[in-house]
Amino acid sequence: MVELTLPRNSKVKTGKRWKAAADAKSGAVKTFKIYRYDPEAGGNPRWDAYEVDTSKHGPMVLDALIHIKNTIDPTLTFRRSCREGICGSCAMNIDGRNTLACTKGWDEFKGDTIAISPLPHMPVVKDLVPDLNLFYAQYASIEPWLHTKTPEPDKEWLQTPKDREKLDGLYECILCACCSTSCPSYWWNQEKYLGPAALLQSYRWLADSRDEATGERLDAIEDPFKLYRCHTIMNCAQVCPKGLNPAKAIAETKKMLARRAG
Amino acid sequence: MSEGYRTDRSRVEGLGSAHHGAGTWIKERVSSIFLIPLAVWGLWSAYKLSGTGYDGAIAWLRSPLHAILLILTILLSVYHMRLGLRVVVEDYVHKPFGKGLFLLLNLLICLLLAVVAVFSILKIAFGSQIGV
Repeated sequence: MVELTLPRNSKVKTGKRWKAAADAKSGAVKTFKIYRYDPEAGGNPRWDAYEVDTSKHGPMVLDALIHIKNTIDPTLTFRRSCREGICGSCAMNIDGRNTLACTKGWDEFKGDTIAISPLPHMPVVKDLVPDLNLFYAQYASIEPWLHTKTPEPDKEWLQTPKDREKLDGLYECILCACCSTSCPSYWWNQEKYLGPAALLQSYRWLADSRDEATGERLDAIEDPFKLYRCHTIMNCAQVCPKGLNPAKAIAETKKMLARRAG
Repeated sequence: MSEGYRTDRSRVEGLGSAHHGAGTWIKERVSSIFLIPLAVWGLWSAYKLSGTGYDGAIAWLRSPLHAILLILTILLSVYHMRLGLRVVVEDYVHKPFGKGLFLLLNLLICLLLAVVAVFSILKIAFGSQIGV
């Protein structure tokens, strides 16, 4: 059965509170309540609270995290790279919603406290770092490259501007995993359902006029679990930090399969 | 995170694609499209029947059109319900025994509902005099 409560060793306890520095600017202090878990130290995960003088760092949540790591607690662990919303590394759950820490401003949150936890329902490697190996394997399984049977042309495979437009809203995906890890269907059937990210990428190749393996691609995903666990919940489209709509891509895939069935 | 030495790719591939699902998806939608007018008709009929009492309801069901439409509504509802409940079980019940048991119960209860409902409608529709 689906688990509605956390197992005993995953229950999140209250952790340490890091008080704001004495010289902190009044009115600029925000509390960042951050999920902490260290497998080497053992014990349950905990919520640590960091009171941060936001006048001392940049405008984004990622700036606050880097500030905490540099000046308050160097043990805080998170992924980040490009700090401009293109690498997808700093995807995390901020105030109950999956998004990228680098493109989310801390001033967008009204309250004094911002809760930050790793992407939901994934094994946690440490603190805000989830284990995404299964997610990447799901992406690899849809074979995200051009499949052709016609001998390669001397120059490029041609495509009309109109056909190229069909890939807009699909190719921009950065594989940050915000969508898949916000999807209840993916939470309950992670091993069998490919999830919105992999299915959006799958449709990116199904919609490509140059690809010659549409039938094989549809064969591979026509499955009650791999594809049809999508129940149009739409969390994926709500949280996508790039504004994409994986649910629509999945619906288009289902329409292709219905057309094929007759 | 790997289970034993199984690779993540092997976990994703699982037993491979079942190569079906489109048919069920179409059946869910087709049954729901037919159910829209039938459900409206059913509610409207229930409203009209509400003041007519037992004899009125029996007389109403004796009309072939009403009996046929009601049988259609019930069969399609039960069929649609079976498809939907199957999805709920598949979503939430993961242990093979429990899953199998719930899927069998779903089939059995839906079948029973359909048979009892159709039999009851026919019994009234083809029955002799009111009250006998």
